[in-house]
Amino acid sequence: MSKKNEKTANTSVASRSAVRWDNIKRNWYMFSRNKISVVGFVAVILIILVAIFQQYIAPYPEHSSAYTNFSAAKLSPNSQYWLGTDASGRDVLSRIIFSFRGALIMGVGVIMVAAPVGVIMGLLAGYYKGRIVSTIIMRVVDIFLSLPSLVLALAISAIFTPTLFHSMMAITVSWWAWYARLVYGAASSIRNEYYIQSAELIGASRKHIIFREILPNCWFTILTKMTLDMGIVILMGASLSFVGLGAQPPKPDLGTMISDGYKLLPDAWWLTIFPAAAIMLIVLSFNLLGDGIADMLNAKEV
Amino acid sequence: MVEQKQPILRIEDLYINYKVYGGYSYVIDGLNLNVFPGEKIALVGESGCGKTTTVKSILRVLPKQAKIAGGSIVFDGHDVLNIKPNELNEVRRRKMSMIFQDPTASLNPVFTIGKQISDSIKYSGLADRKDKKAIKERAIQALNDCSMPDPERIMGNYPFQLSGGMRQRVCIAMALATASKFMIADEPTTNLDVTIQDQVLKLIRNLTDEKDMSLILITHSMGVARMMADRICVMYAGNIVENAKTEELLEKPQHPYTVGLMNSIPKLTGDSILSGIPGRLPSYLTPPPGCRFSTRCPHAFDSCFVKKPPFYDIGNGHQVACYLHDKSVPQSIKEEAVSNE
Amino acid sequence: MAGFKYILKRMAWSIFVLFGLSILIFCIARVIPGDTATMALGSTASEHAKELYREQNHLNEPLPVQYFYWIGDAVRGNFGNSTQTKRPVATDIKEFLPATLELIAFAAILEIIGGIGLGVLTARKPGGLLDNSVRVTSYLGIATPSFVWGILFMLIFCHWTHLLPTIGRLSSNIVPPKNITGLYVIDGILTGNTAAAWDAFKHIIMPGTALALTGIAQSARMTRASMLDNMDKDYVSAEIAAGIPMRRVMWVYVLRPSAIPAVSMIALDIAAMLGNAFMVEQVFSYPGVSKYCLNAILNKDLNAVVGVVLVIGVSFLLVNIMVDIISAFLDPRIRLQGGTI
Repeated sequence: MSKKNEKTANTSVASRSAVRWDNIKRNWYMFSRNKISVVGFVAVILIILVAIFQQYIAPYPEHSSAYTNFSAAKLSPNSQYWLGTDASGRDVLSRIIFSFRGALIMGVGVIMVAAPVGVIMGLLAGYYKGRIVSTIIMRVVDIFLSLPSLVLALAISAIFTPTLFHSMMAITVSWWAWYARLVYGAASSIRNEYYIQSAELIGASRKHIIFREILPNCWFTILTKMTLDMGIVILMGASLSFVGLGAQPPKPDLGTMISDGYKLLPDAWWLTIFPAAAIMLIVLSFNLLGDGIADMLNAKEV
Repeated sequence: MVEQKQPILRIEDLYINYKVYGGYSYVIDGLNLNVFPGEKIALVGESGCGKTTTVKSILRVLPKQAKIAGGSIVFDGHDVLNIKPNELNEVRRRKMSMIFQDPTASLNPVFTIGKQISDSIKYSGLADRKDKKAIKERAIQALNDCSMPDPERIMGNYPFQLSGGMRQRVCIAMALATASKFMIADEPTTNLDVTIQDQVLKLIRNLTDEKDMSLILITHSMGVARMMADRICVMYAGNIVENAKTEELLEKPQHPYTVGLMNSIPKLTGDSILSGIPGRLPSYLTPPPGCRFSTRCPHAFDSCFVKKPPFYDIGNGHQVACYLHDKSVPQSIKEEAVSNE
Repeated sequence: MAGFKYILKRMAWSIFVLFGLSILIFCIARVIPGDTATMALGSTASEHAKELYREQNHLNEPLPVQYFYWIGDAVRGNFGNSTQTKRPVATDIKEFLPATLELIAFAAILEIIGGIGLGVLTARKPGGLLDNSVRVTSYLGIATPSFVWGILFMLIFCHWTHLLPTIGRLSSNIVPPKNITGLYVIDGILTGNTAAAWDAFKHIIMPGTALALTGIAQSARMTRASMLDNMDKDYVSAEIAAGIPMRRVMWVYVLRPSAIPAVSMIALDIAAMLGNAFMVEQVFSYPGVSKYCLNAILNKDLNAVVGVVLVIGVSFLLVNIMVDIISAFLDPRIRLQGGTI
């Protein structure tokens, strides 16, 4: 290797990383044009941190389980218990903080299973459009989507004992089909693009075409849906646990807390309002982040 | 002579910016243009040089990101940039029309042709708003004028049921049904087959001639410009660089960019590869401070990189924005610049 | 004609989907859990009783045979008996379904008017006061589960201000109107029993609005986004350039193509409402089919769950067919060419 060649190789690596850095900066510009998206981004980071360090942040970590102190039951918000206490005298703030982890696990867990399954199904159906494989996959998808997701999830939970894991499973079963339909739409149109035809002409394998040519082009669509879905899935989880089909007491869970709390309305309003506000906050943050990412990825050249 | 009359459209010192990633894109850069009544002008230049932006500013239909940063546009006594909405609508309805580049995109996909033509006639005041029959007659007349076969049937069709050429005729019919003085055609034939192109161009030419209307035709083809226009304005990177009568410009192009453009036209005879113009349009984010063509110009010298050249009148209504025509620049510098080629 | 065929095709397709759905639900009810007989009769039932139950319900046959027995009964409206109410599930559904239908219909109407109306108004002035306040509200609307809205409304309008009745479908002192459609508001109006109609209406305001809020927020944003998207199209420029008044351009020319995606969105929102009704009916102790099904789920009353879920599936398919008809009406491309399934 001559020195000259080495030098050009080095500069190309340098310029490639410069390009990558420039892309990151550009994406950040697209994302941060809307200040609300930045707020969402920061809020999501904070929520994740709270979920990780719950033990250190919550004022009364021991209140996260079956702790009782009836002398301090149903206290309204005060300087000792900022958000009041529940019917067994547990600190509402601590229980809310401890419920963040379950909500995040719910969202991430469902999407991490539903998305890959749906995406692969969608890619196959899109690639083999017009063939029997595609027809079978998409007909099954249609059947799964012929029932409102929440209803399907409720029906599936009917046959299990209620736990966080089972409610995640129920939501996942009703959720993958959305990814399949989304990716199918994208993949079947990409499949007819000239660059796929030219890849086929030079003899690229099917695996290469599906995963190296089609998938990268659907990636933005998938990513946008995944971030927007976090909020929706957490909401569904809260709905299931509200009717008693999610995590069981004494595990702290926002939906369960609301369902325990609203029976004590209008007196012990803090038992309902604060967990509800917490759900709103989590979902809102993820929605804002998701919208920001969608804006960033779909931005027109402006 | 046409030139003695007052211009019907006078654009002076127009600046238009677009807000983009990394700041502002300075697209239109002090553009001047006069159009006289009945005159047909071709605006020629490569893609992205600001032709469409210029004409859209005349009708005030620029996209939201665009800001008019300075200058004035006066059309038939109306100060278009400071006009009241009612007055603007009046201008749009009665005096001026525009034909867009893509006939598929410029017809609303979910309404019938008849509904769309009738509505523009209805609001033009050319027929009584409640007199449906009169409106319909005028619409059919307009389609007939554009030699559309069976206009009655076309009126009931949706855009997707027509061919590209038919759609463009519908657009022309809509534009001509209401406009009386001025027509803007933004590359009306780019998306059409070559054989249809000719018909559509002839149609525009004949109909505007009949009504003695002025026309601004945007095109990147010198051939189209030659066939259609009395005068050709060559645009480069947001400004007009050369402006002359059609024959004069085609025979004696003066601006280095025009010369390059002419050399890029493929000839039907000869087998040499075209010389064309090296390089590409400068970035509008940080345009060259002097002449915007200086970065690609084979003849550029010191002054070109410093200050934007003004228009030099070289007689017979021929204007060139190039220092090679500045009498105060010593001949020796110009010769050196030319011999650098 | 093609549009009619298209709708027929969709209906035939729906029947196939329904068939698939029934298999899915059958699997949920029969395949996964343990012994059906034990579940139906309780663990205390004697082995003999269980065996008799299995015999009667063909549970000893292979699964596909079981399915055909089951679907044969289901088609005839026989879903077996509910273990909770000890009555046929079909009778229970007949009793509770109208209440839920009334609720969903109210919420759907609210969403269509509110969502599309707000969408158009906010698209007129993006970034304006109305746009920003709707934007913030819609973020909250989407981020909050409808049962939380229900609880909040209950707190505000019952506990604090006593404006609206808390629970149920009718106040205890009101006699239900004669049963014609099963929808109390409609029946009340039809039979001239306005007191009952008004009381029933007051009872659905809160749960109905709680169900509709998310959908209103979502469809307003969807309408706004697709309005803004369409407003960038050339045909809107062309319509504005022809001098058609802005209000007409917005409410007629832009709204119609923009409403097409919004209408599909509303179908999805109604699906979400069918799910959320479970929680909302629970909050308001509203005696609908969802609350009935929820109790069935919690008590493992599988016959009732399966029956209600199938009914919800059928209702959702009907909603989809309705949306198809509306879309075909709005979009001539579907109507005249026939869309794809």
